[in-house]
Amino acid sequence: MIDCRRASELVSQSWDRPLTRREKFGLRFHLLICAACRRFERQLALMNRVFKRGEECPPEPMPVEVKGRLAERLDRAIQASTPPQSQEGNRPPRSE
Amino acid sequence: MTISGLDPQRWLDEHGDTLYRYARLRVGEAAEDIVQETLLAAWQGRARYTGQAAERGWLMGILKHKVVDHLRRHYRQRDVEIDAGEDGIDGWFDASGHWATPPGDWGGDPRKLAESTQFWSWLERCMERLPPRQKLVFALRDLEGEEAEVVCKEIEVNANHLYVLLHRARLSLRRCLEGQGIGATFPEEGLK
Repeated sequence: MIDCRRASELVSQSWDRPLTRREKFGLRFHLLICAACRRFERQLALMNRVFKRGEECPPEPMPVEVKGRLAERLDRAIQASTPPQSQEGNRPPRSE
Repeated sequence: MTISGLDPQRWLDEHGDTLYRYARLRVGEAAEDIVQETLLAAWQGRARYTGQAAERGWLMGILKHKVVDHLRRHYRQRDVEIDAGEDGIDGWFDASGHWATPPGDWGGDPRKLAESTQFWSWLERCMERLPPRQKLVFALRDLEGEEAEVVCKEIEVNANHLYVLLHRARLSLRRCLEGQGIGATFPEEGLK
């Protein structure tokens, strides 16, 4: 008979690998009689479903100072790099 | 500076909040740098943007790469030892292997949770409390949905070790989320 600690390990691992027949059997039996571990199982399943929807997470406006810094850094970085399309044609001939 | 409408400043205005939120949850303080790297990489690679994918999806794709990259780099730099006592999990089960504090009833609708700002800020707060290694594997496996084998290869741990880290991370997070009040705010449907 497995304990809650082991059962919680198996519940967690069932998300990462197929359990062996023996593990499945032990876990199922434990879950049958243990409401706490059933709740743990449901909690993990719920979290998993929420994370799959991670991109639906409502955007929180980024702090104004972060946005200001980003805008400035982007500007500088872009000005520092030569726009690739202007390299065409004015590239100096390769000297051999 | 605008090339065929692809302009990092406009991206920042239109998608910045979404990108930042996504990065913030996964890499914390480094989010600002990661978003900048993403927008610059997008700008440098703009020739490869065919316009077939939605602009946001294209930027998110680049961001995800940067995030995973950062997590991996961070992990290598830290070279953190696994410390079993660090997270306190050993005290969460009593001597006979029972839950010291059994998980509470919380459930609700995954969609409602996903759409709630509250949930994600709890998660962010709770993730910050995880030991670095657990945070990393949790972010890669559970948030990014990478295959367990891929995570093992990426951060060079064996499968059993990965399972241990994930188990501990999930136990910590569920406990922390419960402590934040997830059960009361999002009660199990049908029980009310």
